[in-house]
Amino acid sequence: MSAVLPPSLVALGLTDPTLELDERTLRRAYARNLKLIDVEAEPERFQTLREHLDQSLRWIAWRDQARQAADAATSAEGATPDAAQPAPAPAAAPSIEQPDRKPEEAGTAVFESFHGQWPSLAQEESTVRHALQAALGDERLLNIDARTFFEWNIARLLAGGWRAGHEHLLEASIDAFDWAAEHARLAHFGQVGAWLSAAIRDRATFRALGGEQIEVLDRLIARVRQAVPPDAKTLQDEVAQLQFLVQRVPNWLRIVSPVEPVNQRFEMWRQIQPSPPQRIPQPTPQFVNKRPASELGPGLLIMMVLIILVSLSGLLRQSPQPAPRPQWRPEEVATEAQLMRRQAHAEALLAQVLAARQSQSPKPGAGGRAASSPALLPLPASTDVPWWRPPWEAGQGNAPSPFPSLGDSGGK
Amino acid sequence: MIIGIDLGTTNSLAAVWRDGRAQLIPNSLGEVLTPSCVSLDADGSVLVGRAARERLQTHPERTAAVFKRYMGSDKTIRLGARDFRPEELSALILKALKADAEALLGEPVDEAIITVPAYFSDGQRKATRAAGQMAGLRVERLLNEPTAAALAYGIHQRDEESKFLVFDLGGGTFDVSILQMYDGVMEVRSSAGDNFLGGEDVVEALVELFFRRVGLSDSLRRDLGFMRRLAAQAEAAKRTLGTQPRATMRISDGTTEHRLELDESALETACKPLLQRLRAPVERALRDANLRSSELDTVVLAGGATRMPIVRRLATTMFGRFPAVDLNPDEVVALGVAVQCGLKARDAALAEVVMTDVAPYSLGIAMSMRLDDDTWSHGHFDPIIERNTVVPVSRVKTYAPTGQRSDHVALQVYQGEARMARDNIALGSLKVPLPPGSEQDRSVDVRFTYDVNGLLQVEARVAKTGLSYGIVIEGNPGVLTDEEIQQHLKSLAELKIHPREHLENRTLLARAERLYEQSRGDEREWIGRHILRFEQLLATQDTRRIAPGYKALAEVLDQHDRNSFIDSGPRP
Repeated sequence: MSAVLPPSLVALGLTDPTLELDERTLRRAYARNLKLIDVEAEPERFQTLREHLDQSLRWIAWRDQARQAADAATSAEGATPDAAQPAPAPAAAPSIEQPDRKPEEAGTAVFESFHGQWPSLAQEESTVRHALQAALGDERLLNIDARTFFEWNIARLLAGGWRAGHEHLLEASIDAFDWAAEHARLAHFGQVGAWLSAAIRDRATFRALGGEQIEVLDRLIARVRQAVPPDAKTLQDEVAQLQFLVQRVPNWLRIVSPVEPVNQRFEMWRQIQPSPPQRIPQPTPQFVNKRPASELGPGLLIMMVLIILVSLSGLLRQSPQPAPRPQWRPEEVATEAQLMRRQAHAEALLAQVLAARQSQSPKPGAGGRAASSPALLPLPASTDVPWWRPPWEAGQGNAPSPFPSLGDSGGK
Repeated sequence: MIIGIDLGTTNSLAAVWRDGRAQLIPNSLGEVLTPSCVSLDADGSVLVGRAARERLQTHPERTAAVFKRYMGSDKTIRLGARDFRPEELSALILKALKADAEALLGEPVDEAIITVPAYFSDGQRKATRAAGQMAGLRVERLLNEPTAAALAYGIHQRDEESKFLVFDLGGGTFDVSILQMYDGVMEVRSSAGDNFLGGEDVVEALVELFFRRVGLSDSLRRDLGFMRRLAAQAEAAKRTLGTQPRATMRISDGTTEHRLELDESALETACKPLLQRLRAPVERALRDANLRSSELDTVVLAGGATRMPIVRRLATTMFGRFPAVDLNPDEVVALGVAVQCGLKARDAALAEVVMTDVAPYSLGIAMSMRLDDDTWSHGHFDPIIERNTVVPVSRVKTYAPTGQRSDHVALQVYQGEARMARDNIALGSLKVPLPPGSEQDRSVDVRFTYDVNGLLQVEARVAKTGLSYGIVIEGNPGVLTDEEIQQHLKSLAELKIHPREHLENRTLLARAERLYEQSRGDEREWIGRHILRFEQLLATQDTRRIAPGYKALAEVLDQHDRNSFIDSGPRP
């Protein structure tokens, strides 16, 4: 251990560098100091002491994680095949008593039973709601821990991205688990919770849009889900609308709609531009951006133009007379002949895209998209990784447990 | 002398730390539970406790109960010709408990620690404190009820290290707290709750069931006397089902007699939505404490409603173990607040014990989020103090106004957990004048300070001018100002309180009057004769003759209760 101790430990009086620090030692030191304070009369002194305890607890949690990581790395090195090496000794008994696995098993079993019915449930929101309520009514979920594991499984499923019916499951789950009503509820689920929480915040933003705007975007998302191919006439609007969604509500969008058709639309748009190298907005509008809007750089201006187009296209749809195509750049007023050519080109592209999709796995696994993309549509290197994937899908580790103290990572 | 008071929705208790232990204080009837009911007698004097509860059915327009539910609101309750605020009615209960304590201790009592549901809001806490002031008590501290229960439980195990959960289902509120004990420190790790969930809701559910099953006309709901009698029937059935497999609710609407047979499954069906609501606070408290239920050493039950077998069964299933019922759930909060009195008085027996609590809900302001350069999303809740932060605590955050031209910013203060401010509880607002200048000049530091009593102070400091605003949150109609409290104190002092020494006789008479009204024919005449006889004895003011008369009337009423099948009220 480093000889330099964090100030919070020093403040607690834990200055002996040889002392093995754990939560119990910290709390004892805190208790000693606390008894010297009149909490009510000296609130500032108490708050400072409390912050020292909290910081120290975080520090030992971090230290334990670092130690575990170092141990794991050492074990991995030692695992190099070597006949001369003696067989590894049996693992030491865990310091934390092995928790009762029954609630976890019960929660997982109810989830699997619920998820087992999925293909038949996915069509209607009411069916999903009913099935979720039925699952929550399962006697095995009367136990608090079992119920938490069930909820965690649902959260993890949704955080894994869109599958048919997830848009319904998200709505049903928000109501069943009060995810929207309680801002900190999902924090317990670690990264999965953070992703879902961001999605729910996005959902609130989406719902705050005007009713007509929501209708238009809902229809678009439905077309994206059903893999309805756009024609050249609608592609421009769809790209603009999708760009709007990607920018404003990216976390929610990837739960309620598939990634591939969105990126395909962007790619088609890029392909059918008259002079692609000069005309494509930079950076290419890909459904990949995790960065906040403030970091979008030169693309931001183009995005703004596209957003304005959304509004324009909405207005044009209301018009009883056929309206001229919205001009997204003044020099590009498309003639009827140009539109026909673009449409033909788009249809040809779509045919190839659909053919390519049929031949590839429906699940966007780790690095799978770039490998399975058809040669005709080479995506830029920056889009090799889909816009968002949970780390366990990308092979970066296991899903976190809803109980970090007892989860796979083993540390608090 | 400082006393502890459990000011409950249904019953209230007082206790004191004396001779190194917590002791409950009996009222003038020798009981430790004083019903939280207030009634105005025919002569205008105020009756508190069981005498008032007896009059709930006979004098519904002059009697109030369950007013704790309105604390912190500007609702008034009319008794006779006078409107009372919930703080005033609570003050009358507190006054009665204070008198009981003074009678027992033989010395004046002017300080108190009063318990409140952990999930009570800022406004409700201020109202409770105001009630104490109106009763002539200096409220030294407001203590969260489950924390009090934990103190009562934990004080006996102070040398052990343990984590336990207090499941406190009272008459009107439900609270859950998780505590960790080590080295004399009792640390509340988390609290959660529901301010509108308790035994009274079970009674309401049974009343609704009765209306549905029996097919009563909705017009009867306007008959306050009928509704109070039906509620009494529901209460009695609820209690009976705690010990017996079946119970019957019976009531007459003047022309027809209605009855409903109940068993446990009917009770469970009626209460299912209520039981489901018990789950969310428990889950939240466990999540916030970062614990599995299996990591808890014990689950402690507090609050009278945890006597119900369906509640105990649910708790057992939820936690996968039998909860501890070592202490009487009706008394555990009062015993705990007495321990806090000992801590406050630095009693030698508690020298090595320190208790810390948390803020059970998040406190913050409404703010706008910038989506891009000129697009804003408004009305988001931004917590400044996150829930279950250890108190006392003071936190500051800096905000900038969205408009460059406005000369002030209105800080809307909220309490709650919802993402959108409108879905939380508004505590008040604070108008902060802004100077002209850059965004940085016009930024405002907002400081929230939350003390051990759960009371919030908000201070806003403008960066450029250095001026501070706030201190008191305004705009909450449920919170009285100091001047208003003084006015109510004066007005309550003008009320005539029924003499404590005569309360026992008055209570018996109130019970006799209730049974008289509920009986018919010969029975009614028989009770009427006994009432008259007892009233004549009371008029003599001869205690030697009154005592046997009291005993005789009490026996008559007990006998009637045993034989009666019409509208018998809840036994004390």
